[in-house]
Amino acid sequence: MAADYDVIVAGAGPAGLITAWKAAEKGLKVLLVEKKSNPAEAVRTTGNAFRNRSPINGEMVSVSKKDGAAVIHFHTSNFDVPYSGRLIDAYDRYSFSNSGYCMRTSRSACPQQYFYDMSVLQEGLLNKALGAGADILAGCLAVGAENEKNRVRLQIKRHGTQSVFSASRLIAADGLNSRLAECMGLNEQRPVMLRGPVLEMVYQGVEFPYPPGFAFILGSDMKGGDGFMFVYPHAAAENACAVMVNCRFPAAKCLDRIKHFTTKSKFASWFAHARHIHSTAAMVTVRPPMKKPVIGNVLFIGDAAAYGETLVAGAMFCGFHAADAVCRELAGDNGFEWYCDLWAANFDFVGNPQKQKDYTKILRLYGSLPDADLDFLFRLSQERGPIDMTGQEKGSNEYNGGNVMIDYFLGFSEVKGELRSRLQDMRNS
Amino acid sequence: MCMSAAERVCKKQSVPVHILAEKCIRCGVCIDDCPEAAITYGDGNMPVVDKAACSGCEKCIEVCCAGALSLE
Repeated sequence: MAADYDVIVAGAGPAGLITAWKAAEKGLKVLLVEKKSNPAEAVRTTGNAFRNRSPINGEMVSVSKKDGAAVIHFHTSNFDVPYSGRLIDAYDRYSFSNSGYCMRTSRSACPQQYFYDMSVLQEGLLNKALGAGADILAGCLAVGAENEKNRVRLQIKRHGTQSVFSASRLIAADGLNSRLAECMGLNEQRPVMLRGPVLEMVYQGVEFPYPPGFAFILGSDMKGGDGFMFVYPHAAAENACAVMVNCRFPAAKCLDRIKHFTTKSKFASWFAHARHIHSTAAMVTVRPPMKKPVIGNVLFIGDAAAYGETLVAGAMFCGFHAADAVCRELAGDNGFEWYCDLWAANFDFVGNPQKQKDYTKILRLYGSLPDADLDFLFRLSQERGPIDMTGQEKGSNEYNGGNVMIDYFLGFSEVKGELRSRLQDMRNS
Repeated sequence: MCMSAAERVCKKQSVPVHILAEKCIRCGVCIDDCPEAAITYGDGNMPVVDKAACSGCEKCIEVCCAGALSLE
């Protein structure tokens, strides 16, 4: 029996939206299934920034602006994504220690990051997918899938009622906590390594006393407890900033951390005239990546298959190539096998435990150093002035960022004894 | 939906959860985490509980950053 669709894409995040757009553009009959009733609205916390001209996971992203709109270029895969929202250039990045010392990196030649509005980005991609002819079912949760000979049946739940759609192939782009991966047994060999809640609160009228940039807040007095905290520009509104925190359970602690930071910490004055405009949240679940993200006629892409996260640019990379993979499958070639090779070759964390350790090294480093040590290191850095990040060779990314920072700290002659040993041990870990 | 047979046997008596609209931030973490797929998005991205499917396991309460969920 013929399937209802050539391909169903489960999940309208950045990965799934690109697949739906590109697959429809190639002439395939596409159904996009999204759990949100308003698919474009960004409700899940992400960094909302592209690293500009810092290659990672087989791809380099840059942005060009023209006539008030922008185009995001994916250089290696050779595709462009249009974006019409507010874009904030960030030439600087900051890290603050408990006493307020600031370590700053700066790249004057071009921004280190561009902050964008995720809702506008998703709306643009959704319009591209629908314009290319994709059908959409919004407000529908993909709750299970069954492989059959040369097709797959997807079970969908909406308002308590279930229905089934069939397709020749299914792209599972249902995110970090993929229900389809769980139901189809893809997580059986992927034990949870780390799990914790994330909350982002966006404020308008924040008086951040530096040029716009991503700020890492490290002091325990600042947060009133454990976890990591970040402050960064937010493109959802004029003069907006987000505060993001991740911590341990219970999840409601996240709200206490942000309240403490914005009302009681050393930097509470930044928020004296700020107004909270909206919040997003997420549940970070880190598992080993899928080495081969495929089962039968179902391919898992983006965060659904990842070690932690693919980042938004990585998700788009996956989405773009997944559309090609489906076309190859339907043409009788083994397109999913081709995609698996691409996945393993480009995402360094796939099958490489050292790269997995590197991916989290900066967090492990800062999580392991006491407030006093970070105060000492950041004071030395502040006295020396901003670190110049000009030039690709110095551009750090999630993989080499930890080692780049440790080498920088080890370059201080004042760093001696136990602290030097700890840094060297972390460098070699 | 994804529960093992053992988990089904241990399933609690049904006490459905309630979502406070004024506290909910519409993030959908509870939707992802519900073992029964008992929560879906309704209009305006507001999560809705299918009371017949809810087992009262309280996982959604544990993962909610906004403190928007409670047992009825």
